[in-house]
Amino acid sequence: MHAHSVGHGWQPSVRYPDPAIEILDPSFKPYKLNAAAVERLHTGSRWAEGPVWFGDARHLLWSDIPNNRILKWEESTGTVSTFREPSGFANGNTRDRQGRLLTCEHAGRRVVRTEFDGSLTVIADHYMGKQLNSPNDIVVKSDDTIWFTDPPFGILGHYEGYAAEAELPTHLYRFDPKTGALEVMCADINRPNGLAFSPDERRLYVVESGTLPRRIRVFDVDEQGRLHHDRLFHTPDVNGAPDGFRCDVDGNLWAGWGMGEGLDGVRVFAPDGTPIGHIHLPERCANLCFGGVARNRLFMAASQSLYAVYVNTQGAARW
Amino acid sequence: MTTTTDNNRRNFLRAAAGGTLASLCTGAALAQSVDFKSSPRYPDPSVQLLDPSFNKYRIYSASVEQLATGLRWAEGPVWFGDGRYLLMSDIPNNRIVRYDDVTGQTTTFRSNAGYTNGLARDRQGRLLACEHLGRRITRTEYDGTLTVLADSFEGKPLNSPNDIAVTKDGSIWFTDPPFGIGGNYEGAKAKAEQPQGVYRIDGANGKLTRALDDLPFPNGVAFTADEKLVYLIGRSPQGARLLVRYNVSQEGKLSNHSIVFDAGLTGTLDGIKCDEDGNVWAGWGSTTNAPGALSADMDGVVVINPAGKMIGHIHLPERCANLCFGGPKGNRLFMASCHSLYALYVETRGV
Repeated sequence: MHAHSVGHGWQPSVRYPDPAIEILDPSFKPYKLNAAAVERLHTGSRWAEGPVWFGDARHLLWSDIPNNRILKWEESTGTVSTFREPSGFANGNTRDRQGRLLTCEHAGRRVVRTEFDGSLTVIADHYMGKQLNSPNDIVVKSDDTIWFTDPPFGILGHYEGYAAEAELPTHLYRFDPKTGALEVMCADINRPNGLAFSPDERRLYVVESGTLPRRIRVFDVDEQGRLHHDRLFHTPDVNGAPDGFRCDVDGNLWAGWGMGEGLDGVRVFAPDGTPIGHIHLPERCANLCFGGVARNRLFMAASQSLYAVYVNTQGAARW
Repeated sequence: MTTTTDNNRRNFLRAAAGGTLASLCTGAALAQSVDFKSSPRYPDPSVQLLDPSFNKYRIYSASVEQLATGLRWAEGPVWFGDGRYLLMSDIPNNRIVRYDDVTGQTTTFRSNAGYTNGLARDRQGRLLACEHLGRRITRTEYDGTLTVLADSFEGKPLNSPNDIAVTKDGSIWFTDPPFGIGGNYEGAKAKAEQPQGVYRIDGANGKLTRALDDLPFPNGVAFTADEKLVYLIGRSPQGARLLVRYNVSQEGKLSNHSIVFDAGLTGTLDGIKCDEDGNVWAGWGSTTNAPGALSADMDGVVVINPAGKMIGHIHLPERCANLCFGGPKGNRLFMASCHSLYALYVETRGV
C-alpha cells in the first residue's frame, strides 16, 4: 500500500436511490439512475488524477501523482495493479484518435505518447526554446490535434514532481501531429487546468485555477481551432474548486469538485451554466471520465480513491 | 517465540491457499494445470542447437518459463506492449485469456468469445480475431465493441478462420481451413461451403479476395520483414504438414509457390512468425507419438531458416500451437502450448 486507506466510515448506499446523487435542478432528473449507487473501486492512492478508459482493453488507467505511478483497474476482475512506475509524476491522461495513450508528465515537463509496442514518444517538452512548466490536463480534438494546459503545479514542490523555476507563462497549447507545430491557443489564462470540448467541438471549457475562487471559462472554437468570445461559464463561491471535467452527449459539463463536505464530488452544469446536479463523494474529485461499453459509467478520481457510478447519459468524447 | 512463528507461518499458508483458490476461480479450474519447473541451471537444456547458426539466437542466461496454465487449447497469442499484457485464445473454453505482464496474473478477458483462434493487431493497434463459431473475422474497436470484417465470400459462409496476419498497407490475411467446424469441441460442427482458402482483406477498400484456393488445410501465416514473402502452413496430398512460401506482389497476389520444409507424417507445424533475419519460428509437436516420433522429444517450437533447414528446437512439455514475439523490445518469445503459456527471451526480434 502506498497510502493509507481513507474514509473508513464511508459505505456505498445500500438503499436505492443513492442519496449521494443530488438533484439541484429538475433538468438533472433524466440523468440520474434510481437503481445505481456510487461505488468505491479502489482506495490507497495519494492524489488520484487523469482517469482514461480503454474499452478495448477493458481497463481504466489513472495517475497517482505523488506516488509517481499510473494505476490500472481491470473491469473483468476488479483488480488494481501498477501499470507504470515511475510514471514521471504523470497527471492528465487521454487517448488519441488512434487509441494511443497520451500522458502529461510533471517530472519530464512534457507530454508523451505510448506507442503500440509500449515505447514512449515525446510529443512536446518545450516552447520557443524554453521548457514547459508541467503539463496538467489533455484532450484530443477530432482533427487529431492535441490540446493541453501548462500550469506550474508540478514544479511548485517535490510532492507532485520536482521543484523548479517556471520559464514560461501558463499557456493553453495545441499540438498538431500532422505538422509538428506547437501553438499557444490562449496566453491570457492564469494557471489553466481541466479542459474539455463540447460535443460539437464548437466550445472549449477551461478551468482557470490561478484565481480565487477558481472559475470555469468558455471559448467559442472556429473551424481553424482558434478561440473567440472568451467569457466566464461559472464562478463558484469562495470554497468551490472545479478541476478536471468532461461533457456528456447533451453538452452538460461534469466537473470534479471540492473542497470540503457538501462540495467534494462532482458538479454537473447545463450548457447554459446552471448547476443541475451534484454527486457527493467523501473526497475531493480532481478528474473524471466516462467509460464502459456504452460510455455511461462515470469514473471519478478523487484524492485517495477511485469511485464510479452509472448515469443515464453517455460521455461525448470517446474516452 | 516458536508459537508466534508457527502462527505466522499458518497465517501465511492460509493466505497462500486463499490466493490459489482465487486464481482457480478466475479461470484455471476450466482445465487442468500442468506442472512445470524451469531449468535451475544455465544454459537451459531445453533450448537445443540443431545447427551452429542457431547459436547467436540463443541467450545463454535465459530459460523457458511457464507464465500461465489451466487452459484447454491455447492458441493465437498476441502482445500488447502499450497495455503490458498478452491475449491468447483458449478455444474449447470459448474465451480469450489475458496474461498481465505487470502482475503475472492470468484472467479471462472475454467469455463467450466465439471460439476464437488466431489473434493479431491491425496497424491502428486494434485486436483482430478469427472466430470459429461465427466463422468470421472481427475487430475490437477502441470502445470494446466488435466490427465484423469478413464472414462470407461470394455469398457463402467462411469455414472457420484459423490464423491471421496484417501487412504494413493495413491488409489483413487469414487462413480458412475447416478445423473449427469439424466438431463441437472448438466451435460448432457444420458443413464446409468453401474451398480451403487463404484470404486477404484489402487495407484500402476492405474488399475480400481469395488469394489461394489450392493449399490444403491452410494454417499458420507470417510475412517476412520486407513483406515480399509470405510463409504458410499447408498439407501435402499424403497428409504431411508443409511450410510453404510465396512471393507477394504489391497488389497482394501470390506466386512462385515453393515447399520450404516438409514435416513428414509425424511433425505438427502450426502457428508461425518470422524474425528479423527471415527465420521461421514454428509451433511443433508429434502427430503420432509413435516410436521415433515421440511427443516428449518433439513438442515445442522449431526454428527453420530461409533455406529450409531446421536450426533450433525449444523443447516444451506440451505441443505448441502458436507463438508470438513480445516484450518492450520484441525479443521475448511467447508460446501457446495446449494447457499453458511459456516464454523465452531470444537474441532476435519478431517482425
